[in-house]
Amino acid sequence: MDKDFSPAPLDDQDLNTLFEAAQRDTPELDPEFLMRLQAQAAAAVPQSAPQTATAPVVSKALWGRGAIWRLAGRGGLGHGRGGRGGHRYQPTGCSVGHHQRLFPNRKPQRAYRHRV
Amino acid sequence: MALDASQNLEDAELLARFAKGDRTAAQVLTARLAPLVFAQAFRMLGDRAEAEDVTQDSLLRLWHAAPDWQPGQAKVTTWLYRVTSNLCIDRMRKSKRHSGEEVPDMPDEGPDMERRLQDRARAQALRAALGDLPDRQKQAMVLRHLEGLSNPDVAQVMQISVEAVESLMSRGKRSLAHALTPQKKALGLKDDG
Repeated sequence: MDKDFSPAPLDDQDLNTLFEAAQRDTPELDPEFLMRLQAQAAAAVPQSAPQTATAPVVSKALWGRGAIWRLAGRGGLGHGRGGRGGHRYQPTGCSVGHHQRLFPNRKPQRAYRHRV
Repeated sequence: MALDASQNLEDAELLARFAKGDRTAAQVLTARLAPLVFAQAFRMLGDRAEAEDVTQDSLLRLWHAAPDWQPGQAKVTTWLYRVTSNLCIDRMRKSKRHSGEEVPDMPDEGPDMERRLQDRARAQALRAALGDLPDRQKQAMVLRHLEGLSNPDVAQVMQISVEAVESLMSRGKRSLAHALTPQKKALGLKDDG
C-alpha cells in the first residue's frame, strides 16, 4: 500500500513558531533616523502655543547702553567684552538678520551694514 | 517639562502637552511610538526604507492631529496602528510589492547565530506568505500575531466587528498553512504527520 509522504499541514503551534521568529527578526529602528524624527517632532510643535524651548530670554534691564554688544559677546557673535572700556564691535560673520530679530525697530548701523 | 517627568506620562497626556508647545513631550512621544510604528510597517511591508517612510508619515499625521485630539476618543496607539496600516496598504496597492523581498543583513556571528539564521528563514517565509494574502487578512494577521493586539483591539484598529476579525484570522491562517506546508521541513518545523 502506498504511504502518503506529504507533510501534515501546519497547525497553530507551527504558525505561532513562525510568528515568534518574525517578531524576533524585525530590525530595530536606526538611532539616527529616530533623532531625525525627534527633530521633526520638535519642529512640528504648534508655533502659536507658548514655547517651552530654551530660547534666550532678554530682560529689559539689559537694554541699557551697550547691551547689544554684551549680548553679541555672550552669544559668541563677535568680540564684545561686556560693554566696559568702550570696545568696538567687530562683526565676525554674524548675520544681519540675527540683529534685526533682536532689535526689530532699530536702524542698522554702519558697523555691520556692510554685510547687507 | 523635565524629561524624566515626561517619561511617566500617558501617550494622550504627552500629546496634549505637545499641542501646547512642549517640545520635550514631542521627543518622548517620538522615542516611545516610532519603534512601534516602524516594527508594524516593516512587518507589513518587509522593507526597511519603506517602513521608515511610513513611520515618518504616520508620526507627521499624529502631530498634525494633535491640536484637535479629543481626550478619550481613542488610544493614541490604536489611532497610530490604524494610520500605519492604511499607509502600508496604500503602498502595497500602489507598488504591488510583497513583503519578504528585502534581504536584510545577515545576523552577526555569535553563539546563537544558528537560531537567528533559522529565525531569519522562518520570518522571510512567513513574510512572503503574508504578502500573498488579501490586504485585510494580512492586516489582521500582522496586528494580532505580530503586534500582539487582542481581537477587540484589532477590531477597533480596523473599524470592523470582532466577528469579522475572527473570520479574517481564520481564513488567513488557513491560507498561510496551505502556503507554508511544503516548506515545513526546510523551516525546521516538526512533522508529526
